[in-house]
Amino acid sequence: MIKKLIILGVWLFTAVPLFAQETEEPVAQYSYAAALNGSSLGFGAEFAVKFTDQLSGRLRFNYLNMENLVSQDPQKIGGETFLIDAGPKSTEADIVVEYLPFKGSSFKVVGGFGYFFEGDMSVYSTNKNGYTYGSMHIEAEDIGKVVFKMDYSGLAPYLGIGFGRAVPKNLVGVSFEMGTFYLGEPKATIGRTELLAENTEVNLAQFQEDISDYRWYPYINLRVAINLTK
Amino acid sequence: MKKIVYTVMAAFAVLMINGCQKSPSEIMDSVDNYVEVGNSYSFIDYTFTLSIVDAANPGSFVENAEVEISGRDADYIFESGGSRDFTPIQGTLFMVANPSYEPTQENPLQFVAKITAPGYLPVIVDASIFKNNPNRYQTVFMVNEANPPAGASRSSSQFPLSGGVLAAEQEVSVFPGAGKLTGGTVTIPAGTKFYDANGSQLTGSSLKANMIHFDSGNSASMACFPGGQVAPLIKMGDDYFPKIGVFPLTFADIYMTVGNNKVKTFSQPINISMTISPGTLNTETGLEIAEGDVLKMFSYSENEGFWKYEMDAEVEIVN
Repeated sequence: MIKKLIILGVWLFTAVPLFAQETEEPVAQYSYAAALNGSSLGFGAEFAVKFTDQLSGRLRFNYLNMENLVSQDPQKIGGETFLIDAGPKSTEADIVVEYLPFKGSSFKVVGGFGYFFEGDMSVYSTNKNGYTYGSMHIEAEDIGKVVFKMDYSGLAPYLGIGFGRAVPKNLVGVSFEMGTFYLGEPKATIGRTELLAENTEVNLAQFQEDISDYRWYPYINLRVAINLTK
Repeated sequence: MKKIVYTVMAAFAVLMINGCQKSPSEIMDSVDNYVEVGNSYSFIDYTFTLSIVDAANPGSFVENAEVEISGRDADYIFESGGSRDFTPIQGTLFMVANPSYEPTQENPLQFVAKITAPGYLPVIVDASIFKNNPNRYQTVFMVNEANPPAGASRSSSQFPLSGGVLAAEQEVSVFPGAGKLTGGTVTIPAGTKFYDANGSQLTGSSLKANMIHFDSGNSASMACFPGGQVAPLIKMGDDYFPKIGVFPLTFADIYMTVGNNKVKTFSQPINISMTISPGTLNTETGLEIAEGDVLKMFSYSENEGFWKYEMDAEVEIVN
Protein backbone atom coordinates (compact mmCIF):
# COMPACT_ATOMS: atom_id res chain seq x y z
CA MET A 1 0.00 0.00 0.00
CA ILE A 2 2.75 2.36 0.94
CA LYS A 3 4.50 1.50 -2.31
CA LYS A 4 1.35 2.32 -4.28
CA LEU A 5 0.98 5.68 -2.52
CA ILE A 6 4.57 6.54 -3.31
CA ILE A 7 4.02 5.68 -6.91
CA LEU A 8 0.85 7.77 -6.99
CA GLY A 9 2.63 10.63 -5.29
CA VAL A 10 5.40 10.63 -7.85
CA TRP A 11 2.84 10.56 -10.62
CA LEU A 12 0.98 13.53 -9.16
CA PHE A 13 4.12 15.59 -8.77
CA THR A 14 5.20 14.88 -12.28
CA ALA A 15 1.73 15.42 -13.68
CA VAL A 16 1.45 19.00 -12.46
CA PRO A 17 4.49 20.29 -14.34
CA LEU A 18 3.42 18.34 -17.41
CA PHE A 19 -0.01 19.94 -17.31
CA ALA A 20 1.55 23.34 -16.98
CA GLN A 21 3.74 22.69 -20.00
CA GLU A 22 0.72 21.65 -22.11
CA THR A 23 -1.13 24.93 -21.49
CA GLU A 24 1.84 27.02 -22.76
CA GLU A 25 2.52 24.87 -25.81
CA PRO A 26 0.21 26.63 -28.32
CA VAL A 27 2.01 29.96 -27.66
CA ALA A 28 5.37 28.36 -28.05
CA GLN A 29 4.45 27.02 -31.52
CA TYR A 30 4.34 30.53 -33.03
CA SER A 31 7.56 31.75 -34.45
CA TYR A 32 8.44 35.08 -35.96
CA ALA A 33 10.65 36.54 -38.62
CA ALA A 34 11.72 39.93 -39.90
CA ALA A 35 12.58 40.28 -43.53
CA LEU A 36 13.83 42.70 -46.17
CA ASN A 37 12.27 42.63 -49.60
CA GLY A 38 13.58 43.69 -52.96
CA SER A 39 10.76 43.57 -55.42
CA SER A 40 8.92 45.17 -58.29
CA LEU A 41 7.36 47.37 -55.59
CA GLY A 42 10.76 48.64 -54.58
CA PHE A 43 12.36 48.04 -51.25
CA GLY A 44 10.43 46.96 -48.22
CA ALA A 45 10.38 45.53 -44.75
CA GLU A 46 8.26 42.74 -43.41
CA PHE A 47 7.16 41.01 -40.25
CA ALA A 48 6.03 37.38 -40.46
CA VAL A 49 4.34 34.99 -38.07
CA LYS A 50 4.27 31.23 -38.51
CA PHE A 51 1.02 29.78 -37.21
CA THR A 52 1.64 26.20 -38.27
CA ASP A 53 4.15 24.45 -40.46
CA GLN A 54 1.92 25.21 -43.44
CA LEU A 55 0.33 28.53 -42.58
CA SER A 56 1.93 31.91 -41.95
CA GLY A 57 0.89 35.52 -41.96
CA ARG A 58 2.94 38.45 -43.25
CA LEU A 59 2.70 42.22 -42.97
CA ARG A 60 4.73 44.03 -45.62
CA PHE A 61 5.61 47.62 -46.47
CA ASN A 62 7.08 48.63 -49.81
CA TYR A 63 8.32 51.90 -51.23
CA LEU A 64 9.23 52.64 -54.81
CA ASN A 65 10.25 55.87 -56.52
CA MET A 66 11.74 55.46 -59.98
CA GLU A 67 10.16 58.31 -61.89
CA ASN A 68 12.85 58.40 -64.56
CA LEU A 69 13.28 54.65 -64.88
CA VAL A 70 12.72 54.55 -68.62
CA SER A 71 13.72 57.10 -71.25
CA GLN A 72 12.49 57.14 -74.79
CA ASP A 73 13.93 58.92 -77.81
CA PRO A 74 12.86 62.56 -78.06
CA GLN A 75 9.50 63.04 -79.72
CA LYS A 76 7.94 65.87 -81.68
CA ILE A 77 4.74 67.28 -80.27
CA GLY A 78 3.29 70.24 -82.14
CA GLY A 79 6.63 70.83 -83.85
CA GLU A 80 8.50 70.98 -80.56
CA THR A 81 10.94 68.37 -79.34
CA PHE A 82 10.13 66.70 -76.07
CA LEU A 83 12.07 64.34 -73.86
CA ILE A 84 10.06 61.41 -72.59
CA ASP A 85 10.75 59.73 -69.25
CA ALA A 86 8.60 57.35 -67.30
CA GLY A 87 8.57 55.35 -64.13
CA PRO A 88 6.49 54.07 -61.24
CA LYS A 89 6.10 55.55 -57.79
CA SER A 90 4.28 53.87 -54.94
CA THR A 91 3.97 53.45 -51.21
CA GLU A 92 2.22 50.22 -50.39
CA ALA A 93 1.37 48.01 -47.41
CA ASP A 94 -0.18 44.59 -47.54
CA ILE A 95 -1.23 41.77 -45.30
CA VAL A 96 -1.06 38.27 -46.75
CA VAL A 97 -1.44 34.67 -45.74
CA GLU A 98 1.11 32.16 -46.91
CA TYR A 99 0.16 28.52 -47.35
CA LEU A 100 2.55 25.67 -48.10
CA PRO A 101 0.37 22.95 -49.68
CA PHE A 102 3.05 20.26 -49.98
CA LYS A 103 4.77 18.83 -46.95
CA GLY A 104 8.49 18.72 -47.42
CA SER A 105 8.41 21.43 -50.06
CA SER A 106 8.80 25.18 -49.64
CA PHE A 107 6.46 25.88 -52.54
CA LYS A 108 3.84 28.34 -51.34
CA VAL A 109 0.69 30.06 -52.35
CA VAL A 110 0.27 33.61 -51.06
CA GLY A 111 -2.92 35.65 -50.95
CA GLY A 112 -4.14 38.80 -49.29
CA PHE A 113 -4.78 42.49 -49.74
CA GLY A 114 -2.55 45.42 -50.37
CA TYR A 115 -3.26 49.09 -50.04
CA PHE A 116 -1.50 51.57 -52.29
CA PHE A 117 -1.35 54.83 -50.35
CA GLU A 118 0.32 56.39 -53.36
CA GLY A 119 0.50 54.45 -56.53
CA ASP A 120 1.05 55.76 -59.99
CA MET A 121 2.94 55.29 -63.20
CA SER A 122 3.86 58.63 -64.75
CA VAL A 123 5.19 59.58 -68.15
CA TYR A 124 7.02 62.91 -68.13
CA SER A 125 7.18 64.80 -71.35
CA THR A 126 9.61 67.70 -71.05
CA ASN A 127 10.45 70.30 -73.66
CA LYS A 128 14.03 69.69 -74.76
CA ASN A 129 15.45 72.93 -76.12
CA GLY A 130 13.16 75.63 -74.87
CA TYR A 131 11.44 77.99 -77.27
CA THR A 132 12.88 80.82 -79.31
CA TYR A 133 10.78 83.80 -80.31
CA GLY A 134 12.78 86.36 -82.22
CA SER A 135 15.75 87.13 -80.01
CA MET A 136 13.92 85.86 -76.95
CA HIS A 137 14.79 82.42 -75.70
CA ILE A 138 12.56 80.76 -73.18
CA GLU A 139 14.30 78.11 -71.16
CA ALA A 140 12.98 74.56 -71.31
CA GLU A 141 12.16 74.60 -67.61
CA ASP A 142 9.93 77.60 -68.19
CA ILE A 143 8.13 75.86 -71.04
CA GLY A 144 7.12 73.25 -68.50
CA LYS A 145 6.22 69.61 -68.83
CA VAL A 146 3.28 67.33 -69.35
CA VAL A 147 2.76 64.51 -66.87
CA PHE A 148 0.64 61.59 -67.98
CA LYS A 149 -0.29 59.73 -64.85
CA MET A 150 -2.14 56.50 -64.27
CA ASP A 151 -3.25 56.47 -60.67
CA TYR A 152 -3.89 53.11 -59.11
CA SER A 153 -3.91 53.99 -55.43
CA GLY A 154 -6.40 52.14 -53.25
CA LEU A 155 -7.16 48.62 -52.12
CA ALA A 156 -5.81 45.77 -54.24
CA PRO A 157 -6.23 42.00 -53.73
CA TYR A 158 -3.10 39.96 -54.20
CA LEU A 159 -2.32 36.40 -55.25
CA GLY A 160 1.09 34.90 -55.69
CA ILE A 161 3.23 31.79 -55.59
CA GLY A 162 6.82 31.10 -54.75
CA PHE A 163 9.41 29.19 -52.81
CA GLY A 164 10.68 29.68 -49.31
CA ARG A 165 9.08 29.95 -45.90
CA ALA A 166 7.82 33.10 -44.26
CA VAL A 167 9.72 32.11 -41.11
CA PRO A 168 12.85 30.23 -42.17
CA LYS A 169 13.75 26.92 -40.59
CA ASN A 170 17.23 28.19 -39.94
CA LEU A 171 18.34 31.55 -38.66
CA VAL A 172 18.39 33.10 -42.13
CA GLY A 173 16.37 32.13 -45.15
CA VAL A 174 15.96 33.35 -48.70
CA SER A 175 12.71 33.09 -50.59
CA PHE A 176 11.31 33.99 -53.97
CA GLU A 177 7.79 34.99 -54.85
CA MET A 178 5.88 36.14 -57.90
CA GLY A 179 2.31 37.26 -58.08
CA THR A 180 0.07 40.10 -59.03
CA PHE A 181 -2.08 42.75 -57.44
CA TYR A 182 -5.42 43.50 -59.03
CA LEU A 183 -5.67 47.27 -59.13
CA GLY A 184 -8.83 47.85 -61.05
CA GLU A 185 -8.84 50.35 -63.88
CA PRO A 186 -6.32 53.09 -63.13
CA LYS A 187 -7.47 56.68 -63.28
CA ALA A 188 -5.81 58.69 -66.03
CA THR A 189 -4.79 62.31 -65.50
CA ILE A 190 -2.77 64.66 -67.64
CA GLY A 191 -1.07 67.48 -65.76
CA ARG A 192 0.62 70.42 -67.42
CA THR A 193 2.89 73.06 -65.96
CA GLU A 194 4.17 76.52 -66.87
CA LEU A 195 3.51 77.60 -70.47
CA LEU A 196 2.35 74.19 -71.59
CA ALA A 197 -0.61 74.60 -69.25
CA GLU A 198 -1.88 77.45 -71.39
CA ASN A 199 -0.89 76.22 -74.82
CA THR A 200 -1.92 72.59 -75.02
CA GLU A 201 -5.08 70.61 -75.55
CA VAL A 202 -5.29 67.14 -74.04
CA ASN A 203 -7.05 63.99 -75.14
CA LEU A 204 -7.68 62.44 -71.75
CA ALA A 205 -10.28 59.99 -73.04
CA GLN A 206 -7.79 58.38 -75.41
CA PHE A 207 -5.19 58.07 -72.67
CA GLN A 208 -7.76 56.59 -70.30
CA GLU A 209 -8.78 54.06 -72.93
CA ASP A 210 -5.20 53.03 -73.67
CA ILE A 211 -4.42 52.35 -70.02
CA SER A 212 -7.79 50.85 -69.12
CA ASP A 213 -6.41 47.29 -69.06
CA TYR A 214 -3.46 48.20 -66.84
CA ARG A 215 -5.24 46.51 -63.97
CA TRP A 216 -2.61 44.02 -62.83
CA TYR A 217 0.56 45.00 -61.04
CA PRO A 218 3.15 42.24 -61.34
CA TYR A 219 4.98 41.48 -58.14
CA ILE A 220 8.30 39.66 -58.18
CA ASN A 221 10.06 39.54 -54.87
CA LEU A 222 13.36 38.30 -53.53
CA ARG A 223 13.32 38.17 -49.77
CA VAL A 224 15.84 37.62 -46.99
CA ALA A 225 14.35 36.70 -43.61
CA ILE A 226 15.74 36.24 -40.11
CA ASN A 227 14.04 33.87 -37.72
CA LEU A 228 13.56 35.90 -34.57
CA THR A 229 12.78 32.89 -32.41
CA LYS A 230 16.03 31.05 -33.05
CA MET B 1 4.51 17.71 -57.75
CA LYS B 2 7.29 19.71 -59.34
CA LYS B 3 5.42 19.54 -62.63
CA ILE B 4 2.38 21.13 -61.05
CA VAL B 5 4.45 23.85 -59.44
CA TYR B 6 6.26 24.79 -62.61
CA THR B 7 3.04 24.79 -64.61
CA VAL B 8 1.39 27.16 -62.14
CA MET B 9 4.40 29.50 -62.16
CA ALA B 10 4.57 29.53 -65.94
CA ALA B 11 0.86 30.37 -66.13
CA PHE B 12 1.42 33.25 -63.70
CA ALA B 13 4.30 34.56 -65.76
CA VAL B 14 2.26 34.46 -68.96
CA LEU B 15 -0.61 36.28 -67.26
CA MET B 16 1.66 39.01 -65.97
CA ILE B 17 3.45 39.58 -69.24
CA ASN B 18 0.40 39.58 -71.47
CA GLY B 19 -1.83 41.52 -69.13
CA CYS B 20 -2.02 44.68 -71.24
CA GLN B 21 -2.80 45.28 -74.89
CA LYS B 22 -0.55 48.31 -75.13
CA SER B 23 2.89 48.04 -73.60
CA PRO B 24 4.34 50.84 -71.46
CA SER B 25 6.75 51.59 -74.28
CA GLU B 26 3.87 51.97 -76.71
CA ILE B 27 2.11 54.26 -74.24
CA MET B 28 5.23 56.43 -74.12
CA ASP B 29 5.38 56.49 -77.90
CA SER B 30 1.77 57.60 -78.02
CA VAL B 31 2.03 60.76 -75.91
CA ASP B 32 1.59 62.93 -79.00
CA ASN B 33 -1.89 61.39 -79.30
CA TYR B 34 -2.77 62.57 -75.83
CA VAL B 35 -1.58 66.16 -76.01
CA GLU B 36 -1.55 68.74 -78.76
CA VAL B 37 0.48 71.93 -78.71
CA GLY B 38 -1.24 74.94 -80.24
CA ASN B 39 0.08 76.40 -83.47
CA SER B 40 0.96 79.68 -81.81
CA TYR B 41 2.12 79.95 -78.26
CA SER B 42 0.39 82.37 -75.97
CA PHE B 43 3.26 82.83 -73.62
CA ILE B 44 3.37 86.53 -72.86
CA ASP B 45 1.98 87.36 -69.47
CA TYR B 46 3.70 90.66 -68.76
CA THR B 47 3.76 93.69 -71.03
CA PHE B 48 4.75 97.32 -70.84
CA THR B 49 3.53 99.82 -73.41
CA LEU B 50 4.96 103.29 -73.85
CA SER B 51 2.96 105.92 -75.67
CA ILE B 52 5.32 108.79 -76.50
CA VAL B 53 3.56 112.07 -77.12
CA ASP B 54 4.40 115.74 -77.45
CA ALA B 55 3.73 117.40 -74.09
CA ALA B 56 2.45 120.55 -75.80
CA ASN B 57 0.10 118.54 -77.95
CA PRO B 58 -0.65 115.14 -76.35
CA GLY B 59 -2.68 114.10 -79.40
CA SER B 60 0.49 114.00 -81.48
CA PHE B 61 3.12 111.33 -81.14
CA VAL B 62 6.80 112.19 -81.13
CA GLU B 63 8.47 111.26 -84.39
CA ASN B 64 11.87 109.58 -84.58
CA ALA B 65 11.88 108.74 -80.91
CA GLU B 66 14.38 106.13 -79.78
CA VAL B 67 14.21 104.01 -76.67
CA GLU B 68 17.13 102.48 -74.86
CA ILE B 69 16.44 99.81 -72.26
CA SER B 70 18.76 99.28 -69.32
CA GLY B 71 18.58 98.39 -65.66
CA ARG B 72 18.49 95.30 -63.53
CA ASP B 73 16.10 93.18 -65.58
CA ALA B 74 16.70 94.72 -68.99
CA ASP B 75 17.75 91.36 -70.46
CA TYR B 76 14.21 90.08 -69.99
CA ILE B 77 12.59 92.91 -71.94
CA PHE B 78 11.89 92.61 -75.65
CA GLU B 79 9.92 94.44 -78.26
CA SER B 80 6.63 92.64 -78.88
CA GLY B 81 8.04 90.87 -81.95
CA GLY B 82 10.73 89.30 -79.80
CA SER B 83 13.52 91.59 -81.01
CA ARG B 84 15.77 93.99 -79.13
CA ASP B 85 14.98 96.82 -81.52
CA PHE B 86 13.06 99.26 -79.35
CA THR B 87 11.98 101.65 -82.05
CA PRO B 88 8.50 103.01 -81.37
CA ILE B 89 6.00 102.76 -84.20
CA GLN B 90 3.93 105.91 -84.46
CA GLY B 91 4.97 106.85 -80.96
CA THR B 92 4.01 103.52 -79.43
CA LEU B 93 6.35 100.86 -78.17
CA PHE B 94 4.94 97.50 -77.11
CA MET B 95 7.34 95.62 -74.88
CA VAL B 96 7.00 92.12 -73.51
CA ALA B 97 8.79 90.26 -70.74
CA ASN B 98 10.46 86.93 -71.22
CA PRO B 99 8.26 84.44 -69.36
CA SER B 100 11.40 82.97 -67.84
CA TYR B 101 11.15 85.87 -65.40
CA GLU B 102 8.24 85.63 -63.02
CA PRO B 103 7.81 88.91 -61.14
CA THR B 104 6.15 89.05 -57.75
CA GLN B 105 4.67 91.87 -55.74
CA GLU B 106 7.79 91.98 -53.61
CA ASN B 107 10.23 91.51 -56.46
CA PRO B 108 8.88 93.21 -59.57
CA LEU B 109 10.52 93.16 -62.94
CA GLN B 110 12.50 96.41 -63.12
CA PHE B 111 14.08 98.22 -66.02
CA VAL B 112 14.77 101.74 -67.20
CA ALA B 113 13.65 103.17 -70.54
CA LYS B 114 15.56 106.19 -71.77
CA ILE B 115 13.61 107.97 -74.48
CA THR B 116 15.26 110.46 -76.78
CA ALA B 117 14.08 112.31 -79.86
CA PRO B 118 15.65 115.11 -81.88
CA GLY B 119 14.62 118.50 -80.48
CA TYR B 120 13.07 117.01 -77.33
CA LEU B 121 14.29 116.76 -73.76
CA PRO B 122 15.20 113.17 -72.94
CA VAL B 123 12.89 111.28 -70.62
CA ILE B 124 13.72 108.49 -68.22
CA VAL B 125 11.01 105.99 -67.33
CA ASP B 126 11.79 103.93 -64.26
CA ALA B 127 9.56 100.97 -65.04
CA SER B 128 8.33 98.17 -62.82
CA ILE B 129 6.02 95.29 -63.65
CA PHE B 130 4.30 93.68 -60.70
CA LYS B 131 2.57 90.32 -60.67
CA ASN B 132 -0.78 91.91 -59.84
CA ASN B 133 -0.44 94.52 -62.57
CA PRO B 134 0.94 92.52 -65.49
CA ASN B 135 0.03 94.86 -68.32
CA ARG B 136 1.39 98.35 -67.78
CA TYR B 137 0.67 101.33 -69.99
CA GLN B 138 2.42 104.64 -69.60
CA THR B 139 2.14 107.85 -71.54
CA VAL B 140 5.41 109.72 -71.85
CA PHE B 141 5.11 113.46 -72.33
CA MET B 142 8.21 114.74 -74.12
CA VAL B 143 9.04 118.40 -74.08
CA ASN B 144 9.79 119.95 -77.42
CA GLU B 145 12.46 122.53 -76.65
CA ALA B 146 11.12 124.82 -79.31
CA ASN B 147 7.53 124.38 -78.22
CA PRO B 148 7.17 123.54 -74.51
CA PRO B 149 3.74 122.71 -73.09
CA ALA B 150 1.49 125.18 -71.31
CA GLY B 151 3.03 126.26 -68.03
CA ALA B 152 6.55 125.77 -69.35
CA SER B 153 8.83 128.23 -71.06
CA ARG B 154 12.33 128.10 -72.43
CA SER B 155 15.24 130.52 -72.45
CA SER B 156 18.56 130.01 -74.20
CA SER B 157 21.66 132.19 -74.31
CA GLN B 158 25.16 131.92 -75.66
CA PHE B 159 28.18 133.33 -73.79
CA PRO B 160 31.79 133.71 -74.94
CA LEU B 161 34.53 131.67 -73.27
CA SER B 162 38.13 132.66 -73.01
CA GLY B 163 40.37 129.63 -72.80
CA GLY B 164 37.39 127.62 -71.65
CA VAL B 165 36.68 130.08 -68.82
CA LEU B 166 33.63 132.30 -68.46
CA ALA B 167 34.99 135.86 -68.28
CA ALA B 168 31.98 137.54 -66.63
CA GLU B 169 28.98 136.47 -64.58
CA GLN B 170 26.09 135.44 -66.81
CA GLU B 171 22.43 134.67 -66.31
CA VAL B 172 19.77 132.70 -68.09
CA SER B 173 16.24 133.51 -66.98
CA VAL B 174 12.73 132.32 -67.66
CA PHE B 175 10.19 134.92 -66.64
CA PRO B 176 6.54 134.55 -65.80
CA GLY B 177 4.31 135.56 -68.67
CA ALA B 178 1.11 134.73 -70.43
CA GLY B 179 -0.19 131.46 -69.00
CA LYS B 180 2.90 131.09 -66.86
CA LEU B 181 2.93 132.02 -63.21
CA THR B 182 6.50 131.28 -62.11
CA GLY B 183 10.01 131.40 -63.49
CA GLY B 184 13.65 130.90 -62.65
CA THR B 185 17.19 132.10 -63.15
CA VAL B 186 20.52 130.35 -63.52
CA THR B 187 23.50 132.49 -62.55
CA ILE B 188 26.96 131.36 -63.59
CA PRO B 189 29.74 133.21 -61.80
CA ALA B 190 32.74 134.65 -63.60
CA GLY B 191 35.76 132.35 -63.83
CA THR B 192 33.70 129.19 -64.08
CA LYS B 193 35.23 126.30 -66.01
CA PHE B 194 33.12 123.53 -67.52
CA TYR B 195 33.70 119.78 -67.54
CA ASP B 196 32.17 116.81 -69.34
CA ALA B 197 31.00 113.55 -67.80
CA ASN B 198 34.58 112.22 -67.84
CA GLY B 199 35.88 115.20 -65.91
CA SER B 200 37.69 116.70 -68.88
CA GLN B 201 37.56 120.48 -69.20
CA LEU B 202 35.63 121.73 -72.21
CA THR B 203 37.54 124.38 -74.11
CA GLY B 204 35.26 125.70 -76.82
CA SER B 205 34.79 129.32 -77.69
CA SER B 206 31.33 129.71 -76.28
CA LEU B 207 28.88 128.29 -73.77
CA LYS B 208 25.27 127.66 -74.66
CA ALA B 209 23.02 127.63 -71.59
CA ASN B 210 19.39 126.51 -71.72
CA MET B 211 16.67 126.60 -69.12
CA ILE B 212 13.14 125.29 -69.42
CA HIS B 213 11.10 126.16 -66.39
CA PHE B 214 7.86 124.42 -65.45
CA ASP B 215 4.94 125.70 -63.37
CA SER B 216 3.86 123.28 -60.69
CA GLY B 217 0.23 124.41 -60.89
CA ASN B 218 -0.24 123.43 -64.52
CA SER B 219 -1.21 119.86 -65.38
CA ALA B 220 0.44 120.00 -68.81
CA SER B 221 3.80 121.02 -67.40
CA MET B 222 3.48 118.72 -64.39
CA ALA B 223 2.99 115.77 -66.78
CA CYS B 224 6.61 116.35 -67.77
CA PHE B 225 7.92 115.96 -64.22
CA PRO B 226 10.85 113.55 -64.58
CA GLY B 227 10.27 110.17 -62.99
CA GLY B 228 6.59 110.90 -62.41
CA GLN B 229 4.98 112.14 -59.24
CA VAL B 230 3.54 108.87 -58.05
CA ALA B 231 6.59 106.85 -57.22
CA PRO B 232 9.82 108.47 -58.36
CA LEU B 233 13.03 107.01 -57.07
CA ILE B 234 14.64 109.36 -54.58
CA LYS B 235 18.12 109.21 -53.13
CA MET B 236 18.91 110.92 -49.87
CA GLY B 237 22.49 110.32 -48.78
CA ASP B 238 23.15 106.67 -49.41
CA ASP B 239 19.51 105.63 -49.08
CA TYR B 240 17.02 105.13 -51.90
CA PHE B 241 13.31 105.67 -51.39
CA PRO B 242 11.36 104.18 -54.29
CA LYS B 243 7.78 104.79 -53.20
CA ILE B 244 7.60 108.34 -52.00
CA GLY B 245 4.99 110.59 -53.48
CA VAL B 246 6.43 114.03 -54.18
CA PHE B 247 4.85 117.44 -54.51
CA PRO B 248 7.22 119.54 -56.59
CA LEU B 249 6.70 123.24 -55.94
CA THR B 250 8.69 124.21 -58.99
CA PHE B 251 11.17 122.54 -61.32
CA ALA B 252 13.34 123.30 -64.29
CA ASP B 253 15.42 121.52 -66.89
CA ILE B 254 18.85 123.12 -67.21
CA TYR B 255 21.48 122.01 -69.64
CA MET B 256 24.58 123.56 -71.10
CA THR B 257 26.88 122.73 -73.98
CA VAL B 258 30.29 123.84 -75.10
CA GLY B 259 30.39 123.16 -78.78
CA ASN B 260 28.67 119.80 -79.12
CA ASN B 261 29.76 118.58 -75.71
CA LYS B 262 27.38 118.45 -72.78
CA VAL B 263 28.47 120.16 -69.57
CA LYS B 264 28.26 117.83 -66.59
CA THR B 265 30.06 119.67 -63.80
CA PHE B 266 31.48 123.09 -62.98
CA SER B 267 34.64 124.37 -61.36
CA GLN B 268 32.54 126.26 -58.81
CA PRO B 269 28.90 126.26 -57.70
CA ILE B 270 26.36 127.98 -59.89
CA ASN B 271 23.27 129.62 -58.48
CA ILE B 272 19.72 128.54 -59.32
CA SER B 273 16.68 130.40 -58.12
CA MET B 274 13.07 129.60 -58.93
CA THR B 275 9.88 131.31 -57.95
CA ILE B 276 6.91 129.65 -56.30
CA SER B 277 3.31 130.69 -56.80
CA PRO B 278 1.89 132.69 -53.89
CA GLY B 279 -0.55 130.66 -51.83
CA THR B 280 1.25 127.37 -52.47
CA LEU B 281 0.90 124.98 -49.55
CA ASN B 282 3.97 123.81 -47.67
CA THR B 283 3.17 120.11 -47.14
CA GLU B 284 5.55 119.93 -44.19
CA THR B 285 3.98 122.75 -42.21
CA GLY B 286 0.47 122.53 -43.62
CA LEU B 287 0.55 126.29 -44.12
CA GLU B 288 1.14 128.52 -47.09
CA ILE B 289 4.74 128.88 -48.12
CA ALA B 290 6.27 131.73 -46.19
CA GLU B 291 9.55 133.55 -46.06
CA GLY B 292 12.11 131.57 -44.12
CA ASP B 293 10.57 128.17 -44.89
CA VAL B 294 13.24 125.62 -45.65
CA LEU B 295 12.60 123.44 -48.71
CA LYS B 296 14.55 120.47 -50.03
CA MET B 297 16.24 120.79 -53.41
CA PHE B 298 16.78 117.76 -55.62
CA SER B 299 18.51 117.13 -58.93
CA TYR B 300 17.61 114.54 -61.53
CA SER B 301 20.15 112.91 -63.78
CA GLU B 302 18.90 111.50 -67.04
CA ASN B 303 21.63 108.86 -66.88
CA GLU B 304 20.85 107.73 -63.35
CA GLY B 305 17.08 108.03 -63.37
CA PHE B 306 16.50 109.19 -59.82
CA TRP B 307 16.07 112.39 -57.86
CA LYS B 308 19.04 113.11 -55.66
CA TYR B 309 18.83 115.36 -52.60
CA GLU B 310 21.25 118.26 -53.00
CA MET B 311 20.64 120.80 -50.27
CA ASP B 312 18.11 122.77 -48.26
CA ALA B 313 17.04 126.14 -49.64
CA GLU B 314 15.43 129.00 -47.79
CA VAL B 315 12.41 130.77 -49.20
CA GLU B 316 12.82 134.48 -49.81
CA ILE B 317 10.25 137.10 -50.73
CA VAL B 318 10.99 138.58 -54.16
CA ASN B 319 9.24 141.65 -55.38
